[in-house]
Amino acid sequence: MTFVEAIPLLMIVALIVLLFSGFPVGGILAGIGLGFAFLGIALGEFPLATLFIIPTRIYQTVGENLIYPAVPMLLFMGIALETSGAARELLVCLQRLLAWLPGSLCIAVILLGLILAPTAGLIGASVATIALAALPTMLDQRYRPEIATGSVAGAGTLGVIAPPAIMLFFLADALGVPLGTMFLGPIVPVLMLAFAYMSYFVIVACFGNARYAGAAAADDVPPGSLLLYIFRSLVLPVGLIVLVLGSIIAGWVAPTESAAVGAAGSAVLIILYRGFSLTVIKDALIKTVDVTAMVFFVVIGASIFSFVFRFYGGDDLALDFFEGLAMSQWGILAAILTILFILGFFIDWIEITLVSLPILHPVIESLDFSAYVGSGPLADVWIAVLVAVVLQTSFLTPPFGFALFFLKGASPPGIRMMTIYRGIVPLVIIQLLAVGLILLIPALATWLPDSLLEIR
Amino acid sequence: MMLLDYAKRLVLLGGKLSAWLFLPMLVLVAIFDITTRRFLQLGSTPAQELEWHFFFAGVTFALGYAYLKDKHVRIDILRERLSPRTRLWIERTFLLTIMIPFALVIIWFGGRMTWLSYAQGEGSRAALGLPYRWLVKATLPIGAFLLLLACFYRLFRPMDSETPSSDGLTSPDRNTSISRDQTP
Repeated sequence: MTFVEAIPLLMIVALIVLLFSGFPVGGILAGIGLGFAFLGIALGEFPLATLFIIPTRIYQTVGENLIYPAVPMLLFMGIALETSGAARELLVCLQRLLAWLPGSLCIAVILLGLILAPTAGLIGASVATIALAALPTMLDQRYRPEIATGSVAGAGTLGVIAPPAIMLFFLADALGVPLGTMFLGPIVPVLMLAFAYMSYFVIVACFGNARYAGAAAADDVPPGSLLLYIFRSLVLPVGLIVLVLGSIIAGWVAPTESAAVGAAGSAVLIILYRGFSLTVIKDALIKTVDVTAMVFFVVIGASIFSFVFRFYGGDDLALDFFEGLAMSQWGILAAILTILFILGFFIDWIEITLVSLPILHPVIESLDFSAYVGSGPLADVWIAVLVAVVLQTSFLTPPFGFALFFLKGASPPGIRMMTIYRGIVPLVIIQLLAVGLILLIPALATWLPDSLLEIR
Repeated sequence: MMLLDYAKRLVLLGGKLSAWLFLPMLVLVAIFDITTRRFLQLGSTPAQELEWHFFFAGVTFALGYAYLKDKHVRIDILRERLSPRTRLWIERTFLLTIMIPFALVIIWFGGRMTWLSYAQGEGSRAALGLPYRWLVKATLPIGAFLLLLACFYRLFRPMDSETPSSDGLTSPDRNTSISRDQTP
C-alpha cells in the first residue's frame, strides 16, 4: 500500500482523533478535507484547480437542494410548539384525559414525545424539552425517579425517528430513499414501540411500584369550559402535526412543502397561545437559525471531507474492507448495524448520517435483500428503517447512551445517573425486541409505504 | 480594538438577517407557492428556486453568528474534563490551523466562483427559472467572511459571552443542551 493509497484511511484516523478535541465538528471535517487536499497538492497528486470545485460543491450540496429548505421550517415548527408553551399545556391536557389509566403521566409523556417529533432536530433538544415540561410534575406526583426518567428518555428518542423528524431527511439523503417513503416507513415501528412502552408503564403502574405511596392529586381544572380547553391544548397542536403528515400522504404538497405548512401553522399557534408578540416570534426565529446554522455547518464540512475522501478513492475503502472479511449478506448487515449502534453512543445522528453513512453507503448499496423483502426499493426502505431504530436504541443504551446524559443535564439535581440507568433498561430490552422483529418481519417497515405509495 | 467591535456587530447583523429576513421569506414564498399553484398557474419553478435561494443565504449568513454564540456542535466527552486554559489553547490552535484557512479558501475560491457566474451571466437551467445566479452564489463568500470575522473575534476575546437571553421566555436548557455543556 503506497502512501497515497493509504490517505483515505489516514483521513478517517485523523477524523476520529481530532473530533475528540471538542472543536466544532463542521470545522474539523472541513479542515481535514482541506488539509489532505493541500497535502496532495504538495505531493503533486491533487491538482490545484480542483480547489475551485470546493465552493461549487458546497453550493450544490446545500444550495441547489430541494429537500434542505424544509429543515429550518420544521425546526421552527418544533421550537414554536415549545416556546409558545403548547408542549406543556399539551402534557397537562393529555394527563387529564388519561387520568383513568394507571401510570397516566408516563403515557402522556410518551404521546408528547410523538407529537413533538419535529422538535427532535436533536436528541438533546427533544429530551431536554420533554424533561423540562414533564419531570418536575412527575416527581411532584410521586412517580419513582427511575420510572419518570425512563419514560422521558424513551419519549425523547422516539421523537427522533417519528416523522416528520429531521433525522429522517438526512437518512433519506444518505441512503438514497425518497423522502415520502422515508417518512412512511418508520410509522408502524414507531407506533409499535410507543404501544410497547405504554403497555410497560401501565403494567408497572398496576403491578409494580411506579409511584411512592400517597400520590398527590393532579392540578385543578383550569377555568373555562373543558371542551374549549381540550380544543386549545390538544386539538390545535395535534391537528397541526396531522395536517403536516396528512398533506404529504394525501399528495396535496410535496414532503418538503409540508414543512412550510407546519411552520406557518405553528406561527399561528404562537399567536393563539401568547397573543401577538413579536418578541416570542423573533426568539423562535433566532433559535431556529442557531440550530440550522449548526446542522448545516456540519453538512458543509462533510461535503468538503467526502469530496476529498472520494478523490483519493475512499469509496472503495469500506467496500474492500468488507470484501476482505468474506461475510455473508446477513453478516455484513449485522456488522453495519453494530457499527452504527456503537457510534450512536458517542456522537449525535448528525455526524453519523453525514459522515459515517456516506462512507458505509457503497457497502449498504451492494447488499441485495430484494428476495427477502420483496423488491429492491422496499429493501432500501427496510434497511433505512432498521438504521433509524438501531440508532435510536443506541441513544438510549447505558452506559454511554447519548440521550441519558442530556436527561441527566435537564433533571433536578437529586436524580443520579444510576437511577436513570435502572429506569432505562426495560426500554432498551423493548427496543432490541423491536429491532429483532423488524429484521424478522420486514413488512413492519415496508407495508405502509408499499400500500400507500405503491413502490415496487 | 474598535475593529473587533465592528466585526462583532457585522457578524450579529448576519445572524439577524438570517433569522428575521431570510427564514420568514423562505416560509412565505413556500406558502405562496402552495396556495397559488392551483389557481394562478404561475409555474412553481421560480418560487422553488427562490426558496432555496433564501435558505442558502440563511445558512451562510448565520455560520459566523453561530460560531460567535458557540452554537456549533462539538464532541465534548474529553473537552469538558480539560482545564479552561487547555481548552482555550486548543480552540486557538484550531482557529489558526483550520477555521481561518477554511474561511480564507472559501472567500477566495467562492469569490472566484461568484465572479465567474457573474461574467458568464449564469441563470437557471430551467426554462422558467430565475436569472442572476451570482447573487445567491455571492452569499457563500460573504458568509465565509462573516465566519472569518467571528474567528478573529474569538481569537482575541475568547471569554466574552454573546448569549444574553433576550427575555424570560426562553428555556435556557435548549442552548446548553445543544452545546453539550451539561454532560455530567
